[in-house]
Amino acid sequence: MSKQNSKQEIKSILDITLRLFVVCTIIAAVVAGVNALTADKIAENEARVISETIREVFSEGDIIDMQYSDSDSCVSSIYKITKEADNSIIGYSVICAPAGFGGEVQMMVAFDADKAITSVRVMSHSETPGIGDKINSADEAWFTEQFAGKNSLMSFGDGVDKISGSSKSSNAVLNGVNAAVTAIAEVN
Amino acid sequence: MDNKKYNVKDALVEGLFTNNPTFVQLLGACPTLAVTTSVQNGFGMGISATCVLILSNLLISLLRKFIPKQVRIASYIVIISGFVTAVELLIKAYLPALNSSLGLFIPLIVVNCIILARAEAFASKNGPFASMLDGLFMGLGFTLALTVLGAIREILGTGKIMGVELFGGMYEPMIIFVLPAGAFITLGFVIAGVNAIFAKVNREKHKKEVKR
Repeated sequence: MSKQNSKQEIKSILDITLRLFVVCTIIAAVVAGVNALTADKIAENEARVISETIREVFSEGDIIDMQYSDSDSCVSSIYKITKEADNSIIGYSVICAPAGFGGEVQMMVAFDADKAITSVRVMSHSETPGIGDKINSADEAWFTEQFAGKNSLMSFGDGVDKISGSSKSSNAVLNGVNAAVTAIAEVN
Repeated sequence: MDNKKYNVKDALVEGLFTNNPTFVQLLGACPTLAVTTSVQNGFGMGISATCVLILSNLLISLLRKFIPKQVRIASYIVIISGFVTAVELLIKAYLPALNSSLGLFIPLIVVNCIILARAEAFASKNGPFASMLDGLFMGLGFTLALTVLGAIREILGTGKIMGVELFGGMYEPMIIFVLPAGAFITLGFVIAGVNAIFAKVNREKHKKEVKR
């Protein structure tokens, strides 16, 4: 009697396990399928956002990816913008993603040919509305504009100021700018 | 056994008001509190969660005879997170504009208890069409709740609504309302208000019945 019961138990455990396995396999296949379907388009979209942001600052010239990589830095890529006619350098564009209060702050720091900052753009962020999101607001445009002309590492209170009440978000932008300055010094 | 006849009108009223997932069932409080910092964010999260809710309710209902009850929670979670991942990838690829406004919220939907609760309470025991409607109505109730909360918090906390300045700069916003503490305070007051309304409606109903 008891041998029959435990045989039933094992059969039922196998049945349950098999069914769960089937459900998981189906879902894994669906996710893998959607991923394969969308991977190229997503990469394309991300590249387009970056090139659109670069074009806001450098309306002309060839954009060349310098294949920069440094796993310790929040800098993800550096682009060189050159004149189409003679390949002379117009400027550089550094894309970095420092950690902010609510997540990464995607930003771009543009440099001229002498490696001095021309502009800082915040492309996307998850900072708190009404507080941290001031780093990207038209009312506080002075914040990103204050970095123009600088070409060395900075700290708040020493030529640049943070937005009062948003220290974490302001620090994120400063970290991004400093990382960009450090990275740009290393490239040609 | 499947539940009996599904009354669409009753279900709509339930989903939006009498059994509202946020104000009555108190489900999904985590994303609710985090995301209602503005009307736009609240509404966006509500709509995204509704889409996932409809799809997951549908699939779970279709599979309800196949999934053994001993592993149902594990199965539902696999299905829900699979769907959310697929939806996130599709939005990132084909609706990049939507992605820039709602992108943050999509992964949060996986941990939204409403989805699991409706799967367990309804989709596992009812047919696919009724389950889809349940997903839709509960989702609408959730969206309504988030939009209302988002509006209150945005108006009191920033003086704007949908980014539009409301008080001509004369109102000094109470920042606390866009912070976590304000989320709890707002939710508490709104639930109190909802309960007061229900109590009044029930008293009127009771009076009418006693008169008869």
